[in-house]
Amino acid sequence: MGEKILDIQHLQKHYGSLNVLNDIDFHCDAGEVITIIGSSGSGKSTLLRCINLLELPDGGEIRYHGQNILDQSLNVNEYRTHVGMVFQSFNLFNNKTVLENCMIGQVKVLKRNKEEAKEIAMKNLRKVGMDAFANSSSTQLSGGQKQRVAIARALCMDPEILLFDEPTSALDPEMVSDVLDVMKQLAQEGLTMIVVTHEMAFAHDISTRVVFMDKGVIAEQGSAYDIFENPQQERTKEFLKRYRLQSR
Amino acid sequence: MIRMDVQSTLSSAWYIFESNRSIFWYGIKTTLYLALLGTVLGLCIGLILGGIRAIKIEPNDNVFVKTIKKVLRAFVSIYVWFFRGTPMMVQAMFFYYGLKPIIGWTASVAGIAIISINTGAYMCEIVRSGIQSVDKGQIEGARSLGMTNIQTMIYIVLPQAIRNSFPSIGNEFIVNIKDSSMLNVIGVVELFFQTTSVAGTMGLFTETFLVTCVIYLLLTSVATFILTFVEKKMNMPKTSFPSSQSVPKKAGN
Repeated sequence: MGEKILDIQHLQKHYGSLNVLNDIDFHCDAGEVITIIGSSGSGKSTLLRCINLLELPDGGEIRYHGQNILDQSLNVNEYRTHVGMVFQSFNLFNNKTVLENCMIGQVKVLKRNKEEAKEIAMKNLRKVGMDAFANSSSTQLSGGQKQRVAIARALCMDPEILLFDEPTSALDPEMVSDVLDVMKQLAQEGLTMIVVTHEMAFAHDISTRVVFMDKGVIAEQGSAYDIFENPQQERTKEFLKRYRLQSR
Repeated sequence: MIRMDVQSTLSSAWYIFESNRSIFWYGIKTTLYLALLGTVLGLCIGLILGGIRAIKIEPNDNVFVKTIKKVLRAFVSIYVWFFRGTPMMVQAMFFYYGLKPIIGWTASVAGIAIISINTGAYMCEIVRSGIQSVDKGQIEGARSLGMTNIQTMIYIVLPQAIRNSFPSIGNEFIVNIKDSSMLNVIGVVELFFQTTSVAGTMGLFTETFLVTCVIYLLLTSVATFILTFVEKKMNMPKTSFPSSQSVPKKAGN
């Protein structure tokens, strides 16, 4: 595996008296495809949102190429351009077309000129199979289409890591595979990804590492084989049993 | 007998309108000018004030930023409190005569300033609720691309907030067509002002104000019609769905 991109140590997050993240140690190397699994409320989404600083951790360190991003002096917006995010609820800009959604970040944040931005946007829309919809309003699309555009939008910023927060949880079943296919393709191209998901078969197939979270801690992690075929912890087995994947 | 009265009132009203057409027309122009400019400038003020109202004090702000935010918010609260809590007629008298010795403004400039500032206070609340109606995910989407707070506001939140609150913004325009009549107290030559002078020279108050009622009704009805039309247009999808490909292409091919 490549260079260490993210190194998280002793990460804490609590809402009131509820400890959502409890002393999390986690790292991500270049080229890794990490899936985070676990039941609802285990803190997986919060961990992802902390990495993008959409949630502010209460303690610990998040080091990006050795630099602590919780440092007050860090330019958060510059950091966010390197760490893309795909949301469960897509969050496409409703007042923009598909193409504009993919261009605005490039033009306003990366200061690319419009022609270049458009070219890159179309390239990424082609990649996710949504180039024919470039001029559609984002509100006209189906969930699966929206999510593919959201992935293209994130790719346009040339991120070093792409974070996926339950990207298929809000989709109709028949749309799920479209999005997962795109993600598989990205994984094969070597993009570094951290994916929070409930799609166990998908996690099994694409992960270079699977992280199982439970009650705000990382209970177990390892290769897809380690976690799915040979889990050590009782709570991991318990969790996987519900997804009936141990029999694979 | 009553029928005779109605008939004579109507015919003298028509006569008054005919013989003072240019005076009424001048008043109509000024009234529309005040309403339009007052609404647009008021919206600009409202966008700034509403934007300030929507700013949250973050836990990781330093003392300096926190103080600035608090002062700005206090200013907006006082502004809205004062201009919504006093009649525009009183504001017009107070500011026109109060500031005249200092900046020496004319009644028409003062009129535009006062109607804009007054509308701004109402627009502030409209914009704020418009901003609150924008899905929080829109903001997160923008922030995840590295856009700053201000960029997020200008390019993502405010366009949607304005669209969501367009009916209320349009309503302010209708209100301003009517309420601009209050500016006659400082001598702005708008429709009400012109009506009183016509009524004075003709000596026929009921008939003259009947004409003015009809004119105001026409103005507000046409404005309502146009606003409803624009509203419908705004809810239309921006472009049509691509018809060349009805089945979405399979990803990655």
